[in-house]
Amino acid sequence: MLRALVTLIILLGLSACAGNNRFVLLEEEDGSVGSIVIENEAGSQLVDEPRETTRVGSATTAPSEPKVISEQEIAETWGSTIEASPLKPKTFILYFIVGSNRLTPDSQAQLPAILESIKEYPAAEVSVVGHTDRTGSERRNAQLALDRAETIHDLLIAEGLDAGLVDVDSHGESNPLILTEDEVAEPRNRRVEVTVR
Amino acid sequence: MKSPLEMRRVIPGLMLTSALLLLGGTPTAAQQEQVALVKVIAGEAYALRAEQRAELDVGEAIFAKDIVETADGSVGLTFKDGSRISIGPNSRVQFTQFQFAPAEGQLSFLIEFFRGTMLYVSGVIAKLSPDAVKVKTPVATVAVRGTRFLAEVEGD
Repeated sequence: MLRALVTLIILLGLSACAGNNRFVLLEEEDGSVGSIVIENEAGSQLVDEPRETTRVGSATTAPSEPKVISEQEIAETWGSTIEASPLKPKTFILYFIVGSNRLTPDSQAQLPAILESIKEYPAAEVSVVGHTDRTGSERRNAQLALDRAETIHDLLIAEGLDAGLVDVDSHGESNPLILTEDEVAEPRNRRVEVTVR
Repeated sequence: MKSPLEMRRVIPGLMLTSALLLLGGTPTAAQQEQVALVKVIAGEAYALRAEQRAELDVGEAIFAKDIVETADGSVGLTFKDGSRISIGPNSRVQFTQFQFAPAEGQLSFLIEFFRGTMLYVSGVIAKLSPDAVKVKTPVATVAVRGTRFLAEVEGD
């Protein structure tokens, strides 16, 4: 009897300490599924299925085995949080005619859509980021990518984009669309990405 | 040996670096770096910076090290790398570190989530360097592998 009472008190104590901390993996907007790893000093837990959830009672208890929760449970706890999520940024990929600073006809045709999409975003910002492939030195590619981005920047301003909304950057060869070995020519990586967010 | 043309590029850079050092600069510069904009507000949300608490509106800038908190409201932010974070009512989060300079190999995003509810959607930092993104909470740390996830933390 005494033992039962002690057990009950311990259980009550544990549940009082056990905070309601949950981590839920969601599908990405394109339908793909990534993963998260939840870790503390007591253990670590991989979560890699949509709506799979791990609970963590405290910093000294290991994350629980993941369990799928319902859309409804998600809406109950996170409804207003999900509603406050900003619109997904939109990226336009632009290419030049080889050996020139003129856009290909397909890329040129995207400019009106870029200007149009800005209206969809509250407090819209635009980033214009130049990229190269991995032929040539990293340093030269960083400059080349910046030159490309500045060309597009000027073009967008000429089309009527508000210069105050735009920032220009270069990712050089460090952010390829297609992964390659160093010194490999890859025309698809020689591009400017315009992201409206 | 650098060509004269290259030297011309290097010298202004050195001068800028010295000027920043003279000003006691880099921490200040880091604090003032804009990392996100407020995109969605429902009810009231606040930013805590330099010991001031300011109510947030759509279009306002969020800086590295800012704490953002809500009582009844919720708020959604879009970061410079396209990451998006929204928090629901009774939430508190700090953007402790945000570095987004892929050409210099500088990528990091450290989020300290103290309490409430949050939705995180990854951006370019997580794509280029998954290990660079961490969400710390009082009970555990979340490592992000390019993804979208929810968190609920009771806090103190």
